[in-house]
Amino acid sequence: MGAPSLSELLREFGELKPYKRVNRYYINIDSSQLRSVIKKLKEAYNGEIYLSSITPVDYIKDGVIEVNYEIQILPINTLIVLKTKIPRDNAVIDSIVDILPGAKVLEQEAHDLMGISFNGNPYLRKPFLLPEELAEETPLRKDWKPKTR
Amino acid sequence: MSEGKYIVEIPVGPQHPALHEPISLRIKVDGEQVIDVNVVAGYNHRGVEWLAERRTFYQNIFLVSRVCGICNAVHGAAYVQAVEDLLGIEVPPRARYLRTLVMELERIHSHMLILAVLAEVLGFETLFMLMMRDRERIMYLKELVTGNRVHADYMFVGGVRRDLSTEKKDTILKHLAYIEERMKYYEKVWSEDPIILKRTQGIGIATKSQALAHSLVGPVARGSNVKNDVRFTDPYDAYDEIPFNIITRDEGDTWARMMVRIDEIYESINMIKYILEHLPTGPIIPWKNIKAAPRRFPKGEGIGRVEAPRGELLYHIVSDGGVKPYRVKIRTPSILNIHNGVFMLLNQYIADIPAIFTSFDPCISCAERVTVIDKEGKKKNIPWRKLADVSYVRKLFR
Amino acid sequence: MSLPKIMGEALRNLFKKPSTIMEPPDKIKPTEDYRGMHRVNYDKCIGCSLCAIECPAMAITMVPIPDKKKRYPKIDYGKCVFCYRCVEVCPVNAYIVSNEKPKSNTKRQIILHTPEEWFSRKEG
Repeated sequence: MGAPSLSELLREFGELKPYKRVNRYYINIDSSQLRSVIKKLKEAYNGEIYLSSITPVDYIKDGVIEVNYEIQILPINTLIVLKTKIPRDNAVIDSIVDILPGAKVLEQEAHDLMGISFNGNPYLRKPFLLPEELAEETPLRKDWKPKTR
Repeated sequence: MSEGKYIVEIPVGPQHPALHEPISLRIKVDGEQVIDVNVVAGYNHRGVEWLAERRTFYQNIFLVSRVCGICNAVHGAAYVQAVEDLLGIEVPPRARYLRTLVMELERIHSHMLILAVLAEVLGFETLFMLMMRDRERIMYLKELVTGNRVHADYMFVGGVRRDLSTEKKDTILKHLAYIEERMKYYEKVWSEDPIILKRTQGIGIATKSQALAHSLVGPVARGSNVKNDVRFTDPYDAYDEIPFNIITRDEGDTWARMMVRIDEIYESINMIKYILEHLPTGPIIPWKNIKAAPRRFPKGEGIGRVEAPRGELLYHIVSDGGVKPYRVKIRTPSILNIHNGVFMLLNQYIADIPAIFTSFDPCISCAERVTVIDKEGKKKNIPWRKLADVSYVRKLFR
Repeated sequence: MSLPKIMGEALRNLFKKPSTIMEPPDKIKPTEDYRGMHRVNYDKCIGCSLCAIECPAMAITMVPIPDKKKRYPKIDYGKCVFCYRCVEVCPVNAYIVSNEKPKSNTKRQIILHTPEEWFSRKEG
């Protein structure tokens, strides 16, 4: 029960590649396949997985935002990173808060700071972490400039 | 349960007299039972991720240490681990053991702090004062090893910044023996005092599947029988060579979470004794001297995960081949425990909220004003006397 | 029952001296390698500006001195966080370290020594 069975499980979505450290893998998937991948992982390991982080990275030169879902699978001690790309001008992706309720605050933070909309998350609001004056802004995007006084 | 026609919204926060985080909980109560909680945060948001993109990789080590004052060594260690993952370099053995030493000292003082603070929140001020007095010895040990009581500034890319001389080892062992004696006394107080037991047992329960689904981390999850500890599942530094146990409890309530922390203090003391006995010799950085560290970093990404005293801390760094990082993502454990853990506050009484919230390891404060929301949605203010009519205690004496 | 035990300890503490130390901080003895106030030895300094580039708090500025060709560092102790990165990175080890605790001050910008003072004192 190690990397072989995990890569067979996810073979239909893409190829599992290792990182330099042991027990860390990543896979590039399409943003529409995200919910089916997570449901499949949750069933295969009896719900003993948890979502560790949602990391959005803004690649302004390529015009995409890469959203990384870092999931820890406890029975096999593995960290797997699901990498999806969504277009910058229309940053919308499905929410996973009904499958893994732990995504609630991580999606709230990504929505507030990077401007990504998650379909189906009723808890999103602006401003969440930012002060009231910056309620309309998304500071972590690369084309945001702070206003000088 | 409620004869009154009102659902009352109480803001609890944002200032706290004893600990760090200012946070606001908007609680809706029916009588004295909590029906819904809305967390309003952001009072301490300083934009560290944005600042980190505009400073070099080495300046960032000191910037991210100042995200948190209590666990500053682990923030430095996680950042440095991510940068080493990006570079692909090995840390020398002596540096790995020294890093573990400082991180375990930090774990002891952070757990003693939250134990003392929970005792104060329950009203047991004597226990708070006694535990804080004994915690000062750990701060002295940190000053001996790293040069400062609070901000260690000890980690560097590839190793540590200072070496440990042999005279200091005896001082460390002497103070740790005193702490271990005192912790045995405090463990007796925490497990036998009737007031503490009545106020923390059976309060704020989370089952194992709830803790996993809501991504709870640290002693909060381990108090609910989730065997999740990054030192075990993804070992880093010297944790694969030091023998220790993972502490879990299966009650899942506030008392179990605090007892997990007490047992972890014993484990940390044993780990430090093992480290001081088996400290390997050798250099503390992989280069000739610290001025020879590289200035430009290759393209790529790195992930650093460590077990902070509050849970799992994760750093994700993306670099595009320059002197400054392209993206630094910090995912702290408290953000998961506070926002996702509010389900433990539902259906509890108002008087239990401080105990449950402090057991997550952040803190809460005193109530400010009261606004009443009618069930139809209209708002008005009611005086205190009328409010007392719907209180739970009043009903007992009717 | 541990309630009487805490009471015993609490009553005994009534007759001991207090555990807290009052200000001024001269009574608190720091350890020998505490990261305290550091100064620049301007005779050794070569004006390379590495300390100003590396400072995470941007507390060091390089000022030109009349008669000298190089620029010398001026430290603002109000911004300094005493991380000792400047001490570490200096190629000629021109920083003098001490374990003296920084004193409290009400100003935001605290300049305690300037290069002009050092050079005029040596020549005067």
